Amino acid sequence: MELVKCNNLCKEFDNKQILNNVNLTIPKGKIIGLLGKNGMGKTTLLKLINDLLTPTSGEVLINGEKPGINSKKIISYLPERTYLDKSMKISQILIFFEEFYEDFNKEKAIKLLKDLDLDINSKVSKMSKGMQEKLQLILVMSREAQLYILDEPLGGVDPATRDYILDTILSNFSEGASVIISTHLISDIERILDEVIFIDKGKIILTSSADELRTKENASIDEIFRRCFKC
Amino acid sequence: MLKKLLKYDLQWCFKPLIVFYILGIFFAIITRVVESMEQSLIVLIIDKICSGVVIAMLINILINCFMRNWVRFVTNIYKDESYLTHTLPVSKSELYLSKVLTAVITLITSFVVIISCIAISSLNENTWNFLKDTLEQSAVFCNTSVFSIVIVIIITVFFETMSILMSGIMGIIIGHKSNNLKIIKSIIVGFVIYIGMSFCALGVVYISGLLNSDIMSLFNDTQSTSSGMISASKIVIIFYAIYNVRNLCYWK
Repeated sequence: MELVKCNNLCKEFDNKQILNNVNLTIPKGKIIGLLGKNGMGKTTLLKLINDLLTPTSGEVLINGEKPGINSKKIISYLPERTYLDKSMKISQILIFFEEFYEDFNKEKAIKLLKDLDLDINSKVSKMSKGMQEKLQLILVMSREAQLYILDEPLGGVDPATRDYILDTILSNFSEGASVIISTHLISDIERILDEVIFIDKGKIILTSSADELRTKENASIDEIFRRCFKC
Repeated sequence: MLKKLLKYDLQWCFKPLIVFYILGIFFAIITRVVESMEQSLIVLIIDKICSGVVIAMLINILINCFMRNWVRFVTNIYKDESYLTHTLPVSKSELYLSKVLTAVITLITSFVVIISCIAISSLNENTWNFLKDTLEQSAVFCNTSVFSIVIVIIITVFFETMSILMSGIMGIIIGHKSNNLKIIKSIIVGFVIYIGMSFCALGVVYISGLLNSDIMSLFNDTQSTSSGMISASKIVIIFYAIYNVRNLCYWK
């Protein structure tokens, strides 16, 4: 059974079509790359799945239901912004997540924080932006969610940190769960993808298994992406 | 979930307010102590300084109470923190209700502290007698009890300040619907809503006056009747109650 299903999904802002008739199915247990250039509608699509935006027309179904409280219980979302309350300490944020998300694994989060040498008594405001992003990733990946949505998790970070982020994602998502990673940095995430979705000007232009696509085109996903999106 | 939301909202709003509460009460006690000392020029100067500080603290408490609630609303609902707020497994009505309850609780607490500070710093036999006489005269004039007068004053002041707070929040909601100059638009819209609602309240009282000559005497005469005053107050209270309930329904 599919985890997420988009039927004829459209989204407009100020009469500008951002998403145009998107039909999409996200199966369970896959790592999916949502790939496209900047401003092509990746974040809008993810926000619609997360109930942060309302579709202009069409619908999104998560486990057969419209986005709402039930979908928020099973989706762990990492936005491209830092969303933590800067006045809080890490320890307070852990309690906050534990209180609101039944599937939050505090022990796992503490272990991941220790690996990063992060003191749980330090304040978010005292941390660098990069460290805040890592903290957010740890919080998101410490949930035993059914779907992880990661919006540009590699945006603006150095190559060493990219490896850390990808390893954290790979080794921490729960069994049977799906992961949607939105990015334009294809070469970095290519190795972990099961499926790819290419999005261009608000339309899904390609959906395929990563291995099948590589074999068919005899090229890496990165090369295929560059060919598809050549200016 | 509402309890949990409320806990975090209250924690955030009360953090700086508690400091001002403590400072306000502290300076109110100091003022009281200084006033009870033997009078001299130095004591008089210290007394005036302390009284000034107490007044500053009380104004600070009121302004901070409004500002903390508005800032919390903006950061939680519209800024980067909204990515977390709106992806929490809670309903939208719980989210907004938590903000409203936080506003009500902080406002009541702030009023209690303000009244306590005034009582600690200024209440003596003379001021008590003056207050008592004024209230008794008002009660006689309105043909009611002192208790009723006090209750009407408390409810009216509470609704008035709640309407300032709610108008600010409505301004934020409407201001953030546009794509640019959101903060400026929020302030202007909030101010316009507050002034508009005040005129509407006056308009409702005037319309009621067309059906009730006692109420109309408030507009036609300098010597109004007691029943006119009471009826007008009741209408204003009902009007603001409806306004605040309507706001809650709008957010939901």
